[in-house]
Amino acid sequence: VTGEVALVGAYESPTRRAGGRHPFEIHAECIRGALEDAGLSIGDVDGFCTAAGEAGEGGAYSDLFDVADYLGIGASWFDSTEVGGASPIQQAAHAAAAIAAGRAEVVVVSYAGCPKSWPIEPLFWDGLTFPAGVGQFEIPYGITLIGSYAMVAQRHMHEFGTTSEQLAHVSVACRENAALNAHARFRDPLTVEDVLASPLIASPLHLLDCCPLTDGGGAVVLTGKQIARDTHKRPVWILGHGDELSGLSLTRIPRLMTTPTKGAAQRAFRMAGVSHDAIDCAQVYDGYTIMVAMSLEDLGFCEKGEGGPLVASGAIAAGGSLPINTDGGGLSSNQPGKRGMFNLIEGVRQIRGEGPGAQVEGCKTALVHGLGGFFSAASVMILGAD
Amino acid sequence: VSASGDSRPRPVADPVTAPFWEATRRGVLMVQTTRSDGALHWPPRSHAAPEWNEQLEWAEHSGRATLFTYSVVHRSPHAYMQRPYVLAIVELEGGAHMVANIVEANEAELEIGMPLELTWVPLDGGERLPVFRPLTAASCMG
Repeated sequence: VTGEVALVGAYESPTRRAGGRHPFEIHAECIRGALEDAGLSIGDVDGFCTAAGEAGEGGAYSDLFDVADYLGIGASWFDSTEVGGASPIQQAAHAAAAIAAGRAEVVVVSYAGCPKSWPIEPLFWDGLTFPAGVGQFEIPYGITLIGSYAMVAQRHMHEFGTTSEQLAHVSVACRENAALNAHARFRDPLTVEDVLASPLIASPLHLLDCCPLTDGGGAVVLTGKQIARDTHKRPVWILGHGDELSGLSLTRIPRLMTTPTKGAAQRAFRMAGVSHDAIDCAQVYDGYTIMVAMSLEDLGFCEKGEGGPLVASGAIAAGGSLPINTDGGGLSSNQPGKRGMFNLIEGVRQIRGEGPGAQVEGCKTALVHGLGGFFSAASVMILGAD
Repeated sequence: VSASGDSRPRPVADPVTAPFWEATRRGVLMVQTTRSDGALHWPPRSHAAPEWNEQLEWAEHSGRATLFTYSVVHRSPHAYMQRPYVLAIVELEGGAHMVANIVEANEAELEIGMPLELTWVPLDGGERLPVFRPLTAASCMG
């Protein structure tokens, strides 16, 4: 895959509040936008990836069929991998492998979700919501996703001395980037004190440690090097990718707080053959501030337990040694549920010099990161300039 | 709604988990173990993950535990929980981690590593949900 497959089109809908638009209509907007960006047309597409079965995504058990039916898209290669927020990145990696193997030529990966204005629950239950399976030992205790990440934060603080103040710097850095992004959901200035003064949702996580839900969508177009040469813009190459699967139960949190991001990152760096020093920006999954601190550890940008001091050091801010979430991240720009799509799009935009928020000057190499479930699956992709 | 005011979702037991829920009716905490090393396995499964090389058997547990981590949950979509409540992961005596609630405790006294003891929340079907409370000096002597 390395150097064989490129991202040649990327589009993020400016929508943050869909006002009742169906998510499938946003898929159409995003696919049109990404193909125009690439200079390709719908007739060129022979591969399609999406996952649309979560609340607000409009699909159900047969989500790929639902979306394909609405769009009127046929494909000879397709994938509907559903691993929560990591899905779009992992689908793009699957698409890259398919293209490299000659199974597909032009693949669209598309995502849209309207959890705010189209909050229809899908027609199935899962282990997080139903008191059967592993859920029977967790749901009766009033488990919540924020509560789960809050318990991780509490343990991280106990083990490593991480503080709420350190974590608040993640929200502040994202907001500074969002202030520059005309489409970001929240752009007003934010201070560490504001984060700490916001209400506790689940201790030690405050309201402003958590990313707000938006309605939105995005799409990317991938192709091999032959077609990539003729597209509108300079291709952004996939240098490396790695995944790792864990599980859903909270009882899996290891004592030393290692998450699947670690294995995924090791594979991605090995495949890309680049060092951490080469990474000009990182788009890190930021559902909660603690996720960013721990992910930076497991991505290998600092030692285990040093995520708190790292995020508080200024390194992650625009102009720092490792700018993150340059569009404002999920914390301030856009997070309908599968934020991985926007991390991928922002990686492409940074390398093209098209970042809508804080553009990293001369960005040549970008890391994009996705997480799904409760540290259940991680996907890491490293992108490089032409 | 039970006498305690809880109407927590009643677990949907299956053949593997039924012995656990049945024992709760008698106020007994049953946890799976592996014979070779006595290691505890939680939650109940058909096989001993991750090695898959041993049969699991049920053993009665003391109900002693320590607090591995917790969160005081102030906002929650679960109407059956009276807020705020303490969501926790406890480390059972013998090693396994279990999701639970901490009850009969002030937030200020919660401390990772603190000793805990088992108590029960009644469920609608007659089963009981194991939860934990700080181990008091009195219960230590008892």
